[in-house]
Amino acid sequence: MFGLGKGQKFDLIRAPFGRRGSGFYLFEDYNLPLIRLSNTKADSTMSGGNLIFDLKILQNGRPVRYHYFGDAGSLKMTQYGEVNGTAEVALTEHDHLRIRGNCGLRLELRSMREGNGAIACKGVFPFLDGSGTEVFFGGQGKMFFKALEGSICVNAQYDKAEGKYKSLVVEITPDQKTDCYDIAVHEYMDGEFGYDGVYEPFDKLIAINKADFEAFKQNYNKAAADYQEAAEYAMWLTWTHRVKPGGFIKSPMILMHLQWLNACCAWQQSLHACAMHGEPKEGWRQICSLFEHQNEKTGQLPGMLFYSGGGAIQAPFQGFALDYLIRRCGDGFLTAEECKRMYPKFAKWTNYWTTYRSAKRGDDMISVKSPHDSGWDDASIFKDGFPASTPDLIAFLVALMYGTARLAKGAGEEEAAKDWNFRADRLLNQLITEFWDGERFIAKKNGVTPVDSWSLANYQPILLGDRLPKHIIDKVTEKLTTEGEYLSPIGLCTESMKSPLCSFVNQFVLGRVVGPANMIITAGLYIAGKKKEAAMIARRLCDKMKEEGMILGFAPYDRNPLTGEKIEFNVPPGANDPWPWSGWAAGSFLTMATTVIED
Amino acid sequence: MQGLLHLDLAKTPFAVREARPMLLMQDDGVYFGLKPAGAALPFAQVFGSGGAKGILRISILSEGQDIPYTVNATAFETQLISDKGTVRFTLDKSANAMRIEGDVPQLRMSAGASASATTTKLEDGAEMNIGGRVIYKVRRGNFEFDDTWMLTRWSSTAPCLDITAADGKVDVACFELPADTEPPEVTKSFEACIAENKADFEAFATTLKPTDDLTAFELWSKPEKAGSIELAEESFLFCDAQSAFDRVLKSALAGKSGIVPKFAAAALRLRDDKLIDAISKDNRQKLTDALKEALCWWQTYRYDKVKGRYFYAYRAETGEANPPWFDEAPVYAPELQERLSQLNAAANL
Repeated sequence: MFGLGKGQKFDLIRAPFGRRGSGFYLFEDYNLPLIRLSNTKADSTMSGGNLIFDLKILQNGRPVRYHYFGDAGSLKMTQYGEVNGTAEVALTEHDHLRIRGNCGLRLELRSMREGNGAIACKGVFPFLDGSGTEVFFGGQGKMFFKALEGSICVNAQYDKAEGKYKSLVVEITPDQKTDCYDIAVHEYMDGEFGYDGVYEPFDKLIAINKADFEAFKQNYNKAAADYQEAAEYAMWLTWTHRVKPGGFIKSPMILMHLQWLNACCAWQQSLHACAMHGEPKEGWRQICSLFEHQNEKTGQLPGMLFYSGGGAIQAPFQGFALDYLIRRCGDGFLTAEECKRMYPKFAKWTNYWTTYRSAKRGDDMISVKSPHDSGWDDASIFKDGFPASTPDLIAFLVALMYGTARLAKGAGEEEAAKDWNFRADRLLNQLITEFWDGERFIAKKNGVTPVDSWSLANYQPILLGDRLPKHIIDKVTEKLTTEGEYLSPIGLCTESMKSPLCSFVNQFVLGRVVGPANMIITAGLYIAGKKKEAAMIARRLCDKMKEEGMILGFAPYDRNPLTGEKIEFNVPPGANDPWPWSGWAAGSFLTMATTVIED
Repeated sequence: MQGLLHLDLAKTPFAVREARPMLLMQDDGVYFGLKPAGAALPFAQVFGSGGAKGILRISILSEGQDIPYTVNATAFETQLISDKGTVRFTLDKSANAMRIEGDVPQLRMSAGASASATTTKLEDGAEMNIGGRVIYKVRRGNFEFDDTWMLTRWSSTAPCLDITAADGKVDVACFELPADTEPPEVTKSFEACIAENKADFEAFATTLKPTDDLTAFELWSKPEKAGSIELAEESFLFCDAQSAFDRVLKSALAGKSGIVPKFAAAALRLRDDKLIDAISKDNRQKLTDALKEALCWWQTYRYDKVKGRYFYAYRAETGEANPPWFDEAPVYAPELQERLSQLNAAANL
């Protein structure tokens, strides 16, 4: 499989090293030649995190420069020019990591913020039985350092006048006889240290990790020939972002980031499901995962889940994801039991939208008061304000209604299925008759006044595939395959390049080519029968991501498309790059590379 | 209450218990705000500088210009008095709303230019999400509100609700509401709200040992959530058995691990003052269970079997931010031994 190495195609400057089910992650510092360690559950973001350790390899007590190489099994740091100066990290899914090495290693707590030093540390407690040392990080949990071989010394300097720790240093020293060390570092957010499991032999851990990743890969079909290496990397990135149940999270989910927005976002779980054609049952489980957090009274699904809580709301992606899985993989995963289990929940979620986002017309038309409900936070469909009825959300709701109907049928609720299909057909008809102007779908302020927007979101109803009339499918395809309008050399821009609002600078979906938007459109075109066009668009973005990485969005040009003026923006990667690598981008790539692009 | 209690809004916000809307004084005037929802801080920290912040600045206008006013804040009503008229504020607890009425030419509620908010103009007012979801219903008066969405700022334009008197009057109700909830009907008159709050406070005050009105008011109006130590200390202020007990129980439940068990002394006080006799058997069992759980934690994780003494592992466990006597863990504080002795006694009541 691919390797992650200093200066190689896949390195750890942007996408951290992680493991399914582990809270720990490691990354390469952008400014200094160092690997750094943190814990995603502690919510320590790269932009301002305090709970981050530098890893320094020591020779004769002094830090030396090192390079690194890793894969799914472990991450090994090796002193330049020395075979014997190594430290190797293996993560586990049991809330601890292991490090082995043959020279000294120092872990030094250093905040991302200049001057914050070791502020994350709130105390150090060597256990009375000598089994190890616990470090307390306040609301960010605890860590326990245990030497299995060799020794650990934890030094912390507290400034009484300032009431904070100035430094926290963990020194690991090899055993004098074996010249090796092997340590475990545990992390826990609540409660006390109580690990009573075994510490596997290190090499066995590496094998376990590799096997676990191989098993995870089975969720996906093989990618088209040109994208196999990148797809494997995207699968690895997704695997590292998979969290296990814990804290507020009730079932395995996929984080958006490990070190930025480290949340399990609702619609992203369904987006990931769209790619899982190797194991559609797992894709279905992904789709259903948010329903464990459904508000019993209102039917709402939380938009984001963190280890410590959740809330907000996101677009109802679940129906589209279910439809896509069924169309591409069959419905074998939808047993009668599953349908009976999930039909009432889907029904409640659908009725949440028609009740609490009702456009108050007496029917199922919806409108929103915030762009965050749609997920397209700065899309120009919202430029005239709120309440806004937007075609992207209406299309998602139509798909959700058809999905609910399918589940009702599977549950043996024939009358309910008919009713849901009726509602879906009616809303689809309203989408077509009221929100299609002949060239594009449109948003409406107050449900009445058209919004003159050139957003790509206006074409998102293509996710309904062949449920749309042929003339609309053809027109959408024509608009999205015309060079220089939405179509750029690297995929579809989220705002037409002919729009005065189009911006490639620090916006989200106001111009940049963004993975999830392209994924939805290309998957929609595919199920609309426009496979060639879908693949053409998908290839453009996948080619870009293959070279640049699993980044959420890209500027297709460095000039303003209308004025030709050169744009000044950070050339990635940057120390404060607002476009970090993400699980979301990896999931989008995998759907396109493994289900849209065909050899 | 002995006489009318006057409030200094810079130190004690105008609020009622079990409702979040409040008024407070900041550097540039009186603000409408919301009590913190999840605070477990001592009262002084919640409302001091660095604590709760106002959301919308209240101003009185005449011919479009700010005019000065004086503040007369009492326990159940706050008045802003200007040359052109007076604005009165009270709280409608059952509606979780701030009620505002006045005879000023114009009332303005506005946030600063840097405020980040999502707002929507309604037929009868505005909805704003800043620090919480609040719907402002203009019940009397003509109003203007700009809810322009600023696409690249991911925010509405800085909220500014301008209410012009109709027939010489303005009347606004500010409802703090969870998502997806419509505001209730306003059924109580302004005076009825004042009377209800007064009666509720007076009933609350009877549960307290003799204390000054301001302390009683702050206890009554402060945010609901409090930490273990604050709850334990508060319980001593109550002579009513159930009120005291509820605080001791909450303190014990919040302090089952990792915090000095001051609730133990509070539990023993319930016994010594014979307040525990008035508590149901089921509730007493809940307290006993919580006390035993706390004791078990200390015995398991913070007891040195060799020295036969309890210890602190971390400063946070002492309840003090930066105790000068705390060096390196473990710290065998004499006060802690006494607390655990109390806990042992209380758990075996």
